[in-house]
Amino acid sequence: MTFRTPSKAACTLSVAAFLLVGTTLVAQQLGALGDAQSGKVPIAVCEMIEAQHILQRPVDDKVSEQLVTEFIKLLDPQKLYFLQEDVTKFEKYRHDLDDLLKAGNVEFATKVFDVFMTRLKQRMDKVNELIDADHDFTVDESMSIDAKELPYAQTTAELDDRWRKRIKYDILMMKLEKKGAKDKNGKTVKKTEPDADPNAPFDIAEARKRLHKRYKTLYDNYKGTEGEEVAEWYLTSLCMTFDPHTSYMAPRTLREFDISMRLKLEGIGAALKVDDGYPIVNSIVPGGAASTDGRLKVNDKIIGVANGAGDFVDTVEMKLTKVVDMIRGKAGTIVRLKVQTGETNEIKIYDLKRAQVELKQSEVKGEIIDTSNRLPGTHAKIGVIHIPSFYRDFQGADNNDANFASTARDVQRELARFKSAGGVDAIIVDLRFNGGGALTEAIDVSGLFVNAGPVVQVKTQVGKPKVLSYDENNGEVRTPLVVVTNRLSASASEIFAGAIKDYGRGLVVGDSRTHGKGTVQSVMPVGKNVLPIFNKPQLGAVKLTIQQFYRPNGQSTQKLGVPSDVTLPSLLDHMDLGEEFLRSPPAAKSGWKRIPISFG
Amino acid sequence: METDTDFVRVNSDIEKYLARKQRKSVTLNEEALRKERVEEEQKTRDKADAADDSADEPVFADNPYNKELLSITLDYLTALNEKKTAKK
Repeated sequence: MTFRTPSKAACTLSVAAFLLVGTTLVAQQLGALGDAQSGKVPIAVCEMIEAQHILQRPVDDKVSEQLVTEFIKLLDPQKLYFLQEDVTKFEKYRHDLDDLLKAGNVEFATKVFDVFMTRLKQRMDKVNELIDADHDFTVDESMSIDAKELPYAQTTAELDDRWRKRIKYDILMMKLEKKGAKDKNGKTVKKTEPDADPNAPFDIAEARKRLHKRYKTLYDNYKGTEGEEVAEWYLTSLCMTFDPHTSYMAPRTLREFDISMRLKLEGIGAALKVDDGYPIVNSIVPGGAASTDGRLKVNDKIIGVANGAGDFVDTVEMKLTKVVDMIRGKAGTIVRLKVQTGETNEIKIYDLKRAQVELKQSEVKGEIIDTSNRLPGTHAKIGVIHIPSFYRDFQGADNNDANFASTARDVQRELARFKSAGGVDAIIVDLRFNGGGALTEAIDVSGLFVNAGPVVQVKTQVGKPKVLSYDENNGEVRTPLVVVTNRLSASASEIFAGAIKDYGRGLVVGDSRTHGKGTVQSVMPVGKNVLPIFNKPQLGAVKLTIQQFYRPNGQSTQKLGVPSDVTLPSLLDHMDLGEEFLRSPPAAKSGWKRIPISFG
Repeated sequence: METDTDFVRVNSDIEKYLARKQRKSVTLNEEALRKERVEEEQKTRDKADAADDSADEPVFADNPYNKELLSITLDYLTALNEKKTAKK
């Protein structure tokens, strides 16, 4: 996830504050719709898509048909669980889902998911058998890795054979691993490294134990799925039939999204992971409450959580998102953790005062490189600014918070640091892996390097293009500029790289071109649609593609990306990454014509 | 850059990747798979090393790619200066 400054941009958009040009938000955690309003969510989502999506298309039979396929694919992309007979049953609904959704009915999702869980359970029983079975690794046979080519299995026996090969492959991979060897630096080699010696010892019992655990974790993850999560997957599948960047975010996902934009949260500042059913501290955020308190350590197991003076809730085998929800809470309040320490296995109780946690590791960072240290014989100072995402705390900006998270402000801070350190000969702005973020931040950051003027133009399907400009003239940096991009630099990154290129302001270097996303999304709360005036219920939000954007030279970046002036060889450049590899790219047939900006 | 061993290796990785990308299946024969995997060993090790420093990532790591970026930036500065001189 990637995305955020003080908006000095003359952003004249009236749509909403949340204009995004981010791309890589993965709906990782699915949230709760479980209140009286939940039946209204599908109705509202349909209404919002029909009214606001750039394609201006109805949710109709055609959408219904695609939705059936999309949802099945979401649950079983590898065709390893459903049988053809299941799929045939689901397909009977292919002309009904639009009407059902508009009546607030998501039962189809529940039905499909129930069948999925039954199949999953059957598969896991078989998997456990297969893990303990003997396999012949000398036979010449292969396993298909292209699900697109594969039909759904007709019989259980066919599925059994797909899984036999899969488990055989798992065991084989473990058999090929190099065990405990050290490399030339004395580091233990990774388990993924293959052993050239076919006679190397192999502990099959250990491999079987690992596999049983792996598949139990997979099963447990699905077992804890709540109905609300299924509804989120389903509604997101609906959105995906319109374009790959439109999605439904249930309240929990929306909270995670807000955190990624604001770069802060309220909690204790510890990242957790799950191991064998136990929530375990994976890292502690410097400066957060847990770090200041000092008692909680990496590898501690959190076996219970209590809010304030309340009773402890057992957290072993609990879904991680739930544990995290319980630990988070308003700054200043107390959360008590029952901890089994990683070092001594003692049980301890820590009471921690929740506080604001700033996610500094996701901020813009700068460094001055003295080239003589890296390229002997050269003498230059180069200021590198790494922008991981175009984050922006929209709410903080609206509330006029003095220090709301903002990419442009942080870039300005780094530029000021370069200046106070005596200046630099050139600046490198590193946008590799930057998937985008807030449109207004892309404009503001561009504005720091180009003269005041148009940075990008946006257009809805029907409306006239709108030119978005940066209209301040102070603080423009004239130092020579190099922008580094790769195939995962998307959206807001492409706006910045495009503006720098079109104004001839700097050199774009990296993969042959950027990602190729040319659309703008807006995050619209569903509650507002349900009850427009007061007491808006927390029903999540729809992230909707509402506009296309165009570079100052009039070119769209959709599927084209921003080509580099200098291309460096990279593996990433050859991978199937980019808008053209996503399903149903938006507005493929219409629009995307060049719209030259008329500079006034 | 063409002769730089690091980029030569990247190019060979790209070739191998493109060949593999076309594949629709993977062998389940131990001998064949071992041979394939050992050939790819070097690349796996590079990736593992890259993952190791993710915990405390430097802003601009000292690696061949970034060195090349610095060289390009210096060339760019030279070109800009020449342009300025020519204008004078």
